[in-house]
Amino acid sequence: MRKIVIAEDDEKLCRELLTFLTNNGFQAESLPPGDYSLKAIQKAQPELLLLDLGLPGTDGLYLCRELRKVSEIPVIVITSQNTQMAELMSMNQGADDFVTKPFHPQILLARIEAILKRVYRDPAPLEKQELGLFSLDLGKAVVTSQTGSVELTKNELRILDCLARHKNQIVSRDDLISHLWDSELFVDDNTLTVNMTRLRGKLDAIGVQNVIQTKRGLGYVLLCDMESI
Amino acid sequence: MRYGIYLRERLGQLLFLSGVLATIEIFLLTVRASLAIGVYTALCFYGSFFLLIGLEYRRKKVYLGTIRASLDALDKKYLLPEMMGYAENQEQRILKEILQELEKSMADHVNYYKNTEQEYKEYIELWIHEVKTPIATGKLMLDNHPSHLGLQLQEELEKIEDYTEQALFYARSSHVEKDYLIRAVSLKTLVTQAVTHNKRSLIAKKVSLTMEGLETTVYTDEKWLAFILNQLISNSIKYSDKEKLKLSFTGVAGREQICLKIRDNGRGVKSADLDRVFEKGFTGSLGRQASQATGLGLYLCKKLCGRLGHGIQIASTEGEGCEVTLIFPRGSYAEVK
Repeated sequence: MRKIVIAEDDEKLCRELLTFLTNNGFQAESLPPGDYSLKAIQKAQPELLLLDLGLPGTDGLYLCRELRKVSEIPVIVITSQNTQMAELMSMNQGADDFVTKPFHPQILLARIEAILKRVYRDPAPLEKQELGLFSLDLGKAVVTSQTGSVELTKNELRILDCLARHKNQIVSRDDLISHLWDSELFVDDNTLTVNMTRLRGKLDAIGVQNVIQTKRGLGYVLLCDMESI
Repeated sequence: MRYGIYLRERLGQLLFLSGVLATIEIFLLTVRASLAIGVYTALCFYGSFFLLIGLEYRRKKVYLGTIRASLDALDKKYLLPEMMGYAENQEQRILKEILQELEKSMADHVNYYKNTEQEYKEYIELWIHEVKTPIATGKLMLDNHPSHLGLQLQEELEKIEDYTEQALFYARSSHVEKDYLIRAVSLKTLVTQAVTHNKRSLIAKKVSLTMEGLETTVYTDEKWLAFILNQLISNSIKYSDKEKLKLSFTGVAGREQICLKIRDNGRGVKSADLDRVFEKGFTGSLGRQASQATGLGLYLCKKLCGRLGHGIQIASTEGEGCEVTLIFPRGSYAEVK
């Protein structure tokens, strides 16, 4: 579990960030209010620092510069100043990333994960997943069952990945589209239907039938438990 | 300055002089002086009068002429007193002093408003930065504590966010200083970010997106252009009444410029309104039906484009859709070799 320290003076935001990060599997801690100093940061020993620029009594950029003199830990700057100048200044002072308020929580999470992965060379998440009757290899985009294997296109892979992340739960069409959009695959409603049909066809071809079920008006569900199939 | 008019204005003096002359002539008549003396006196009187008036006229004409010329040459007319040169006599000195006082009083007045506006603008920017923290907190709260109202609240929060952003750029658009940074940015990244930013509402509109020819870079300020694209996309969302929204982004690279065309299949704009859509506060007949129209979106787009040196054009057929073209000039000087 990676330890993330938050330097943010708005109490509520700080608390919500703590909850959010804890919910997403990090060990989160905030600096004691009023004590935004290099010492406090070093004492907390973070593996990543979320730094607000407008801190009372000090300046985020200054803190960032001082921290860089003694430590290489990744720093993500969070600020409400949405200008390129502020971004440039932060990067020059040694920040690794720059997120402007109000940020999208999932985007912040994605950035944190990306940086942690790069800095600490975390092993990639389990690439091969067992999903009941078949297994999905995300790295190779291949689905394998007892009777054979088949390659997936980018869209099909993302759809199956999204369903696999919510095993046995209903995923709405909008959520599926939204997930595809996050990978810059800007599909529309029709394309999703077409891709879904093809994906089912491919699964049928290797003997995996009826694992993806349609819930009318709600969305799709991927069944992974042997009993329910 | 015309001599005839000048002379007419001196009519009183002339009459007075004639009166004096008449008494002298009567006096000469009573002492039985010769006719020659009488005529000579009259000639002397009128001669010196017209000579003096003429000289005075010439001097004034030259003086006022120089003032007029420097006034015409001046870009900021109120700086005239600085250009008036050395005052040769009392009259000119007084005139100069009066004008200088005028100039100073006006400068004070203008400065007062300048400062007030600057303070107001700073307050607005500060306020916007302050309000972003509670919005971010709200979003996180919704994410941390899922509830049945979550999605709707999220949408409202996003609307608040968009409106604050609009206010921020409105304050920035009339800034005198340069607070943007022109850099080479990939057109694809710009469009992708803008589309992702509006993901929720676009998917809700069952959008079908096409992107073509975006594999190129343009010189612009990323944040400003992101705002412009957001405005255009949210317009397309607001004014779509078809079952499915079609939105296409097409990049066209020309020799002198790169164009980004954003086309939708919404309500479009009446041809009579087309010329006025970039005006501040103009909502058009279709806009008034949709009460969300503020008449600010396109106005700001145009203004920001102007400051970034981009062009913006709009073409539309009512009922069929609307096409906005952003033009990024690419002078050869912009290419860093």
